[in-house]
Amino acid sequence: MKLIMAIVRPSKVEEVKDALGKLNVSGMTISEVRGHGRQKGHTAIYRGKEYSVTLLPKMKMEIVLADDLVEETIETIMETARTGEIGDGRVFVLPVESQYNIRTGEND
Amino acid sequence: MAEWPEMATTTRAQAWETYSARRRLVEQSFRSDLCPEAALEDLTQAMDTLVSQVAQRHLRSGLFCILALGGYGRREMFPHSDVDLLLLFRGEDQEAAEEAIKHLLHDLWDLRLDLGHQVWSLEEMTAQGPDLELALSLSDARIVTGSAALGNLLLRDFLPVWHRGETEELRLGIDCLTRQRHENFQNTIFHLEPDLKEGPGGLRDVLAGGWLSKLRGEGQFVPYSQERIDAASSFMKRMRMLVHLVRGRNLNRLTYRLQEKIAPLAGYESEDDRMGVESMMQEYYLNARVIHGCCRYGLVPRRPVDPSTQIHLDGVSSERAGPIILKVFRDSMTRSKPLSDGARMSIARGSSELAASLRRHPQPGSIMELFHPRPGLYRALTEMYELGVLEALFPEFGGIKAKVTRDFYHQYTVDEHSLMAIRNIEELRAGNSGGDARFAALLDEATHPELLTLALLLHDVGKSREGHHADRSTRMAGAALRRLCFPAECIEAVSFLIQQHLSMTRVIFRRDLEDPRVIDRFADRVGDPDRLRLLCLLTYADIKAVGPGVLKDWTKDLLWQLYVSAYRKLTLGFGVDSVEEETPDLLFRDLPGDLDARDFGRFLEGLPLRYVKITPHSEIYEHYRLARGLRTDRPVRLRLTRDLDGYKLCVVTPDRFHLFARIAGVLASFGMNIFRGYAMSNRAGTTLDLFHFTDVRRRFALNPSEKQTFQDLVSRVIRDERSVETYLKGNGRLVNPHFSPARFRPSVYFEDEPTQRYTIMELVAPDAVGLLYTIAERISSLRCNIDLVLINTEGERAVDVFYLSRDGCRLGPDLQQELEAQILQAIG
Repeated sequence: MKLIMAIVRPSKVEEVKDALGKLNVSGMTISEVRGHGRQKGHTAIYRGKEYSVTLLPKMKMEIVLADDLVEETIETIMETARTGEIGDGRVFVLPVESQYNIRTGEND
Repeated sequence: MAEWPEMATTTRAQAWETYSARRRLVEQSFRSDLCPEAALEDLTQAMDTLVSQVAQRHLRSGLFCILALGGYGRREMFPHSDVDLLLLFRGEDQEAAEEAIKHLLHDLWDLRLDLGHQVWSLEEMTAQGPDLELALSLSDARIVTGSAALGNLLLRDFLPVWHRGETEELRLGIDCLTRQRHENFQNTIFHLEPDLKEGPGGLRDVLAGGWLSKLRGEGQFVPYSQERIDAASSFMKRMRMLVHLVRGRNLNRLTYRLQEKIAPLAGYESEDDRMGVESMMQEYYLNARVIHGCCRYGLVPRRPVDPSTQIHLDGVSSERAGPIILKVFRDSMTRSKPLSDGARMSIARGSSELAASLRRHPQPGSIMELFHPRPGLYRALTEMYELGVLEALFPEFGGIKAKVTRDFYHQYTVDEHSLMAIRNIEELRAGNSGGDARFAALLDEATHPELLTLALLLHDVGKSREGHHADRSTRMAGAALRRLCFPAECIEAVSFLIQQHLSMTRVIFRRDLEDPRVIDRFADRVGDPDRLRLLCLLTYADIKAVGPGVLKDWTKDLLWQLYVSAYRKLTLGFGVDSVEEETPDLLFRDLPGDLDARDFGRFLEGLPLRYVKITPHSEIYEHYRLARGLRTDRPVRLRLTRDLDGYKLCVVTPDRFHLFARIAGVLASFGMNIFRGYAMSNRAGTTLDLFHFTDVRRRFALNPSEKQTFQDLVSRVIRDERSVETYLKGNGRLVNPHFSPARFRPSVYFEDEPTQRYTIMELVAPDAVGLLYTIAERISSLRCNIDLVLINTEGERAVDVFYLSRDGCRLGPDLQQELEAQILQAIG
């Protein structure tokens, strides 16, 4: 079991969600986050004054999956969220030891 | 000591069975007739019988009296309400009475009744007096069984006298409890899962409103008739009955899921385009508004109200209803004075005459002034809504009254959402919006912020029906403003804002803001920075008014990022693309018969593409007509027109050095304040200068002949027949820029990237008459050519963008530095 954590552009979330839906990956947690990668944000100029946008708005998608679905899911996220420009995001894969259902108390 | 045998289990079961059977019948009957009053009365009687049966064996020779309190005392016994009892005895019988009461309570507990009981001796009660909560419960007390003589000593002899002595204490106490209760619910009736009992607009408010009204006495203004208040109260009781029946417990929250279960039981069936639950919740909010409104009006003012600080109005004549009512609300806001109860009554009576009066005497100016963002606007609009004034002005707004958007996202009904959005703008103006200073600055820069608040009021009126609401709202708002005789420019601006009110949200959430094409397309749609500013503010206020916490910092950053990118496109990027091969087809399709398409095409070539996109077609044709009329003996054509904001001057002439500085100089010499403008030229070298200015000294208005003098002078200065400098100095009319160092320091910023041919210079400085002339002169003195100018005034800020070149090339770094130094020295 793996946890896939993907940081993507806000404009790409719906597209990624739809694409994952076609793989029958439906359970996920999505949060609005801010951060920067290697480009460390950028500087914008408004009225002749610079203001730096160091933390850019992004979306974080977290999905827990069985191992055999991981590869296909990562490929789908990468294909769908890619624009080819700086700031497309990242995908992280983490091992998951176990998970519990709070309502039933079962260890799934 | 007397023996108190426990009640036989069989007898208790029998009593309970009788009660339960009766309750089932009542519930059955209620489910079919939905009449809460009859059901509550029957349930009360059933409970009276049960309590009397159980108590019978414990009541010996009038030892104590059982009184019903609270809702049970009012004969409003809900299926799972607590049974509130007062057990009253004489002090001399204390020992025996307490023993009897103990056994009575055991029997009642064994029946699993939810008892809320108080045990008092009459002497203690009369000596101490009840505390506030007990006093309120006692106001509806009645004798259930036991010693009537004892009960009456309390109810008839003691309480009326005690109440008279404590009127003010009681009033303040109820007021305090009510405010605390409202505070617990954030002072709003708008909750996704409202509490039918404790929430604002709930049954507790019916009681509090009634008590406060009774204690305050005659003459108090109540915005609704008694019949309407009774109907609202009845609705709430019906809902609470259903919640108790469905939940089977004493729970009073109308939860989201419960709403769906209850709607069909309450007779709200789904129709083609409307869910039954939406209709039910609409009814809920309409009724909650009535109850909450009455309760709010009954609350004691925080500070004693001096009548001289209120606005009074004895009556409203039907003929002058419009101007009078609008003036009253405007005065209330500008002078921060509340309306007196008498004024409210007069307005409520006169509001029906308002629409007819406005048809006879249109007041677009007064309405616009009323909507100007300022502290108190939300309160004034809410009061106008309650008194029927807002709907008389805009009947379209009535279509969304208490309309529910059913999801977990929209906390407010559509009408309240629109008013809350206006409140968000008001808070920006008042500086109460936390860390939103950047949006507050945009509001300060807006030329007509009242168009923004009008657009916010009407942006969702199309939601009265299903389907795409932006189009419908735009049509409805346009019709409303035409009916009120608003100027065409205002109608167009409001319509644009409403039509586009979702566009920024769509772009920030569904498009990539770093894709230049996305920004280009969006900037094209918006057209100019003024509209962009208002649209950004509208989007900010609209999202924030969906519910608390919906507009997060994350969303604000995205919105700001889009605003800045589009603003840069509309200002610095104004002249990057010019008309080449591609010209909008529509421009040719609408070409008037007297104009030649090929020649018109040549006129457009080389002009900024954005000019073609954002200028109304009729104006472009007029500019072309002027250009077509240029001849060697007539090298200057100009046109001066008037509009809502001031004057527009269009000058067409073959390209001339110092042209822009000269026209700006003439305008400065007449004391005119330029707030918007463009200067550009086409490939053939024809220059088109457009100035939008205000006549701050009213020279044209006071001396009509001055207009002609002005136009003649512009022509002569351009033709080199007069020197603007000589003229200015000779007449002593040069208006020195009156910069105030306390406001902010001017800044100059150069950018070379967007275009290969020009250097773009952006200047931000405190606005002043003569500013443009001063800058243009410095530019020309360094032999720089002004290829394009975009002038904007944003509040007290002048933001001017110049496309500059020298000898056909961009300006080098040294020249940029020299120019910056000269300009800052001249104006700083």
